Amino acid sequence: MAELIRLENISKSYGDNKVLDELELTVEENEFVTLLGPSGCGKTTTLRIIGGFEMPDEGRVYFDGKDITDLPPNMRPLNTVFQNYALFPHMSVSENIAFGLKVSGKSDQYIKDKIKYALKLVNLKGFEDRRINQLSGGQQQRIAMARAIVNEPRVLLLDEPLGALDLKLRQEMQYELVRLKKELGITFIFVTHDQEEALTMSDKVVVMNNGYIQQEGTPEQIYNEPENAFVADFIGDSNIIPGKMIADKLVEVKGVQFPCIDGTDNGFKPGQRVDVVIRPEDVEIRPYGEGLFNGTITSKLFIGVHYEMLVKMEEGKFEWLLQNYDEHEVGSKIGMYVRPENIQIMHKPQNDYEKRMSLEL
Amino acid sequence: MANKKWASPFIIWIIAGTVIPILSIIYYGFTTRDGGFTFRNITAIFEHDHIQALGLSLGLAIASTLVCLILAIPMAMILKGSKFGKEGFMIFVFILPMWMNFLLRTMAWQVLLERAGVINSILGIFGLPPQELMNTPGAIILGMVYDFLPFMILPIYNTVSKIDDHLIEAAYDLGANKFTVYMRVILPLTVPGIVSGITMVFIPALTTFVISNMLGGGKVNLIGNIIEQEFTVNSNWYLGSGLSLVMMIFIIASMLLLNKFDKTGGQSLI
Repeated sequence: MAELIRLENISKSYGDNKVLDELELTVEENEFVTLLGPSGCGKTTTLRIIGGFEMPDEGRVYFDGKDITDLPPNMRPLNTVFQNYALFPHMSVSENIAFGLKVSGKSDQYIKDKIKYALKLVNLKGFEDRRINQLSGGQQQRIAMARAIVNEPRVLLLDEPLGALDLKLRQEMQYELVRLKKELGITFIFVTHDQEEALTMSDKVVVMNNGYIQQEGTPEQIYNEPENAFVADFIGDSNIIPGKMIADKLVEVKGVQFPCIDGTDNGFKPGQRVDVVIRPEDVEIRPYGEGLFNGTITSKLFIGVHYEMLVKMEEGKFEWLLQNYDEHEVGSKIGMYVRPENIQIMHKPQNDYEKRMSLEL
Repeated sequence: MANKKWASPFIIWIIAGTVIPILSIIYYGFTTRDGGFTFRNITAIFEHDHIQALGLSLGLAIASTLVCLILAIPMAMILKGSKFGKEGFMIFVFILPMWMNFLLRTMAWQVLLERAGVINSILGIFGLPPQELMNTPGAIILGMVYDFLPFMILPIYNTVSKIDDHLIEAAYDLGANKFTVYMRVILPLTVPGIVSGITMVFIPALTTFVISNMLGGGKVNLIGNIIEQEFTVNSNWYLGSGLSLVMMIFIIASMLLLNKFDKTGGQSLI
């Protein structure tokens, strides 16, 4: 796949507030990229810089090898689906969809065919003459998509487009978006704070916080191999415990030593302080005294598929989050075991830069 | 319902302030001095003096409404573009004269426009001959624009400032240039404000007699002046009411016409 968009050394501040700091990002042709992070992490600003609605203070934006940093939004070969859809309330559905085509001087017949094609693509055949205020949120969402894609952009920018929809509709639209992307064969850059959305739809997830990219990778990489405590905490639930490397592939947590698969190979020297990340579904429940750790269940919630439990450990001050298909009573004493391959070892923040990158724990 | 109980003061207000006055104007409008029924007071509008005054009133009202519109639309756009609360101050400055008495404001223009007034003095400094500025239709238009401009700016600015910035961004995003964005998105969305601005300027401009009295010096007779004279000088309430009813019909007709342009389907004034 060829590189399509490259952000080079982008910085952006609003007053004293530094939103983006020397950001580097590459988007490949035909990729579904998601910018994921909590509000205020700089993901929307990044998207707006790509769209041309914000000027970076420093750095350049390249599109297909050409520098487009100084191009206004109407000259850029990409289109945006806005968070609140931004449909023109004084126009009908077809007038909305036709807007970009009319501006570029397409023939009436071409416009008519395109509207028909686009409405079919978003499953809203026959909606041509509806007014915008007659549409539901989900329908407006689809029209906003249709209005953007009739212009045949090479990149579609989507700014939290599913944020205002209810859960069921949101899940439907996730499938819909993936299908649309396949049919259109174009690049999607999607912004969201919803980790589930990011994991379900993307080819590549870019996790952001405090104006920095924390990790880039496939959804599987992001989930299974978080690079730092922030990513681990933001993507799904995790137990993050401070620990110390004892030897190659041997780590100590709260006075208990156990094997793991990380070691000198990936830069963990014996004696080094580390963070140990264990996903709640990876903690296996064993009879008391037969696991690595022992503890008492302090609370239990039925989540639907599984139970979620909090366990107070005996070896030290830490409360574990566990997910398990079997029910265990509150108050019962259990043993906990984690397979070496399910233990993720992470570097402790070393300097200011890395500290800023990671979550305060 | 509890709501009904609270509505009663307003119902009394409407009856006392609207229904009774209108009914009495209708009564006088269709009545002769000796109490008989007549259409004379209505058809009197077609008398030469009246039709001339009506024509002049319409002309001046339309002219001053247009001038207000031409001043207010760019003004509102500039205000929307300015950032960080500056627009609050600008609006304040524009509204400030409204806090002064209406008669005083109009009188100030007398001082400026008089033959020996401020403007002619300035012209004199440059050796230019004094101009006859007072008692002209132009002076009346100037006075009406000055007095009514805030009523045009406020509703237009209100509408413009509520336009979602994302709509403007979306239009740019779809390839539109500044001119297209303005003509196809901003202006159509401003129509409700323009309609209520026109309403609030055109109606008082059409019926004014104070401004034409003060800046027209009795030489420019508007329909408002004629109606006023029927009530005050001639004590002919019957003719005055009849002509007022004709004016009401003119105003209602112009409102209906205006509302046709307001396609966004907002609330109409009629």
